[in-house]
Amino acid sequence: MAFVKKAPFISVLALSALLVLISFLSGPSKAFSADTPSSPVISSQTHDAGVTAAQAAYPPAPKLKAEDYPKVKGLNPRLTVWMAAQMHLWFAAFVLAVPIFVFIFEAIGMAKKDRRYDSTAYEFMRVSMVAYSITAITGGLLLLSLIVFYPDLMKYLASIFGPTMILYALIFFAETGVLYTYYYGWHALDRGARKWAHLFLGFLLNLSGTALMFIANAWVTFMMTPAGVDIRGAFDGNVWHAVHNHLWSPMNLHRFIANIAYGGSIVGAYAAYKFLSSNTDEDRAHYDWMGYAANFVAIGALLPLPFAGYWLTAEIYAYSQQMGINLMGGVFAWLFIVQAVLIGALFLAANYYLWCGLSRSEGGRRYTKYIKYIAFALTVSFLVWFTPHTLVLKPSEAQALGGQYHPYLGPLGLMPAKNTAVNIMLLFTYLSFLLYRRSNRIAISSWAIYGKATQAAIFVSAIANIVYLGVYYGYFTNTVYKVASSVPQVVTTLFVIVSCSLIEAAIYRRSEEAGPYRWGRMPERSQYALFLIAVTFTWLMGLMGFVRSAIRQHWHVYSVMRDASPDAFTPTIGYAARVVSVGTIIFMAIVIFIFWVSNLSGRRPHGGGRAG
Amino acid sequence: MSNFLKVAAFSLFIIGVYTFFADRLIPPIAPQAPPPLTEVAARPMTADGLARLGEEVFKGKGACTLCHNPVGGRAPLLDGIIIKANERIKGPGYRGGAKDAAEYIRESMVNPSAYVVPGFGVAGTHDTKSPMPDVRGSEIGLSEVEIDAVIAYFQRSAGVEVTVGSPAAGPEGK
Repeated sequence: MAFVKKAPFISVLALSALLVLISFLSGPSKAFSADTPSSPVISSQTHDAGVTAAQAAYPPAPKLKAEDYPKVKGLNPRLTVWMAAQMHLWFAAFVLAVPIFVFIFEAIGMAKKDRRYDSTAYEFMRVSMVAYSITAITGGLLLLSLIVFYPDLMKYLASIFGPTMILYALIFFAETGVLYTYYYGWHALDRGARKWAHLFLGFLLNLSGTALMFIANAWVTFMMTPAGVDIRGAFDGNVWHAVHNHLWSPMNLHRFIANIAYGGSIVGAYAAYKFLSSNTDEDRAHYDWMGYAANFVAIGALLPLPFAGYWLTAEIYAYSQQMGINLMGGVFAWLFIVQAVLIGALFLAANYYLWCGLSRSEGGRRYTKYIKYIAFALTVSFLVWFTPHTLVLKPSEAQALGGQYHPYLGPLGLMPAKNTAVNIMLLFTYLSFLLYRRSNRIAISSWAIYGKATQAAIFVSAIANIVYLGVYYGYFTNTVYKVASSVPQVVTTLFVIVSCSLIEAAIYRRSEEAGPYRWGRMPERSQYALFLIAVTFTWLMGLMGFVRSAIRQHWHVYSVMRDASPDAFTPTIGYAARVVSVGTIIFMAIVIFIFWVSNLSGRRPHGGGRAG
Repeated sequence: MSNFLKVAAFSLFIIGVYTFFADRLIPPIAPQAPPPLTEVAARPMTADGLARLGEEVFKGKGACTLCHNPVGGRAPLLDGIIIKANERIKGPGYRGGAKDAAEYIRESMVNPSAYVVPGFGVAGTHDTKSPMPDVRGSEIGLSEVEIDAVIAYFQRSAGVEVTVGSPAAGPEGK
C-alpha cells in the first residue's frame, strides 16, 4: 500500500526527468509555424534547388555511420530499446484502457443505479494507480535508452517534434492531477451532483490519456511514413504536417480500439483469478460477473479491430507500395500466419467462454445443441485463415506438387479467402453471443417467430454474400482488385450485427425468465479461456508491434534517415517470437505484482447490490 | 497458491506453444541484409556500359519490377516505353513538361505526379497523384548516374540512340 501512496511522487519524478531530457534534446527552440505552404507529404524538390526559406532553416536528416552509435558494454542497443518500448506500450495500453472501461462502468452504474458497476470501477482504478506509475517508469526507461543508444535519431526527432514533446509533458502533468483527483475523490464525490462532477473527471482523464497517445503516435508514425520533410529529411517547419502523416489517423483509431480490447482482457484475467480464488458464493458471483463484463468489452472491441487494421494497411500501401509489399508479400508474410493462429485462438476462447456461460441459466440448455455447428464453422474458417499461400518446399516436393502453390488449397492463402474466413468467424461469434443473451429469456411476443426467421434469413444471406464476394474478387478479378472484397464484406457483417441486434431487442422487449440466472455458476475451466485471451492479446500486441516497426527495415525514419548501426538488419520471425515471449513473461509477472500490491489495501469494497 | 501455480503454468504453456510455432514451425526465412551504405555507381565510360548499369538498376536496386510487372497490375508496363512516351507527350491529356522520351522517363522517375497514366493514380485523386515515389529519395536512392543509366537501358532496348549521360555515348551509342 505504501507503494501505492508513493505512486504520485514516482510519476512526477519520472516526468521531471522526461522534461529535462526533452529540453536537452530540443536544443534551440524552433518556432511552431502553421502557415508554411509546403506539401504535407515528402516533397519532390531537388537536392540542390528549390529549397524554401523554411526548409533552409532546418538541416537534412543526418547521415550516420556505425561509429555514431554509442556502445554500452553488456547491453544490446536494439534489444534494450525494443524491450523498454514494448513494456511501455503494454502498460500504456493498460492504463489508457482501464479509465475508458471505468468511465463506462461508472456511467452505467449511475444510469442503472446499480452499485456493482461502481464498486468494480473503483476496484479497477485502484489497480490502475500502480500500473500508472510503472507506465511512467517504463516510459522514462524507454526515453533514456533511446537517448543513450540513438542520440542522433532523438535529436532529429526533437528538432521536428519539440513543441509536441513539451505539449506531451504538460498533458501528462494534467493527466496526473486529474487521475489522483478522480481516484482519491471517488468516495467524496459519490452522491448527487458531485457524482456527475466525478464522472466528468473520468471523461477528462480519458481525454488527456487519449491526447497523450495521439501525440506519441505522431512520433512513431512519422518514423514509418514521414511527412513535412523533403527527400533529404529537411523539415518544412510546420509541425502539423509532420504530425498528420499517412499513418497517424489509422494508427490512432487502431490503437484506441485495441487498447479497449486489451484492457478488457486484462481485467477479465484479473476477474478470472479472483473467481478461482474466491471462497464465498458472493465473491464468486461478483467476479464471474466482472469477468463476463470484461470479456464483453474485450470481444466487443476485438470485432471492429480487423477493419481498423485494413485501413492501417491500406494507408501503408498508399504511402509506399514497396513497404506494403514488404509487409504482406515479403518475409513478413509468414508472420500473418502466426497472427492468424493467435486471432483464431482468441475467437475460439471467446466463443468457448460464451458457451460455458449458457450454464448460468437452466434455459441455456436449449441452445447447447447448436454449439457443435458453430464450433465447426469457426474451425473451418480458422483453417482457411491459417492456410499459407506460398509453401516452402524441397525441390522434389515442389516437383511433385507442380509448383510452390497447392492446386486446391493454394487459393485459400489469398487475402479474399482470409477476409471471407474472418468475417464468417465474426458472424458466428456474434451468433454465440446472441444465443448466450437468449439463454435466460423466453420471448412472449406473438410475432417473435417471424422476427427470428428474419434474423435467420439475414444471417444466411449475409454468409452467402460474403462467400460470393470472396470467391468473385478472389479468383475472377485482377490482382489489384483482390482486396476490394474487404469493404463490402465488412459492410455485410456490420449490417448483420446492427440489424439482428435491433430485431433481437424488439423480440425480447417482452420476455419471461427461463430459469434462475446464477452468476458464479461457471465451470472453473471457463476461467482459463479468460487467461488465454489475456496472454494471447499480450503476445499478439508484441508480435504486431514488431512487424509494424520492422517494415521500416534499415531505416530509423523510412526513406530519409538510415539506420547505420550494426543492428540495422531485420531479425527473423523466430527471433522476434522469442523476444516477445520473454517480454510477455516479464510483463505478466509485473501485472501479477500490481494485482498483489493493489489488493494489499484489503478486500474489495462490497457494493451492496442495487441502490435503488 | 495452487491456483496461482496452475494459472502460471497454463500461461507459460500458452506462451510456449506460440513461441514454438513461430520459432520452429514457421519456415526460418532470413531477411536480406541491408544494402551497403555507399553504393553510388560510377559513371560508365560507354553507352553500352551505361545501359548495362541501367538494366542492373532496373531489375535490382531501383525495385522497378516490384510494381511494373504483368502480375500485380499496380503500375503501367514499361515494354516499348520509348514509343509510348513519344505518344503520351503528344497526347491531349499530357500535363508534364517533357519534350522527348528521355525527358519523359526522367520526369516519371523524379516527379511521378507530373503526369499519371490514366488508371494508375492514387485512388480518389483522378490520376493527378502517382503512388510512385521520387526515385532519388532514400527509399530507393538512385543517383543521377543511375537515373541516366535506366533511361539508357530503355533506349538501348528500343534500339534507338542513347542520348543521356555517358561522355563516350558517341560511337557505341549510335
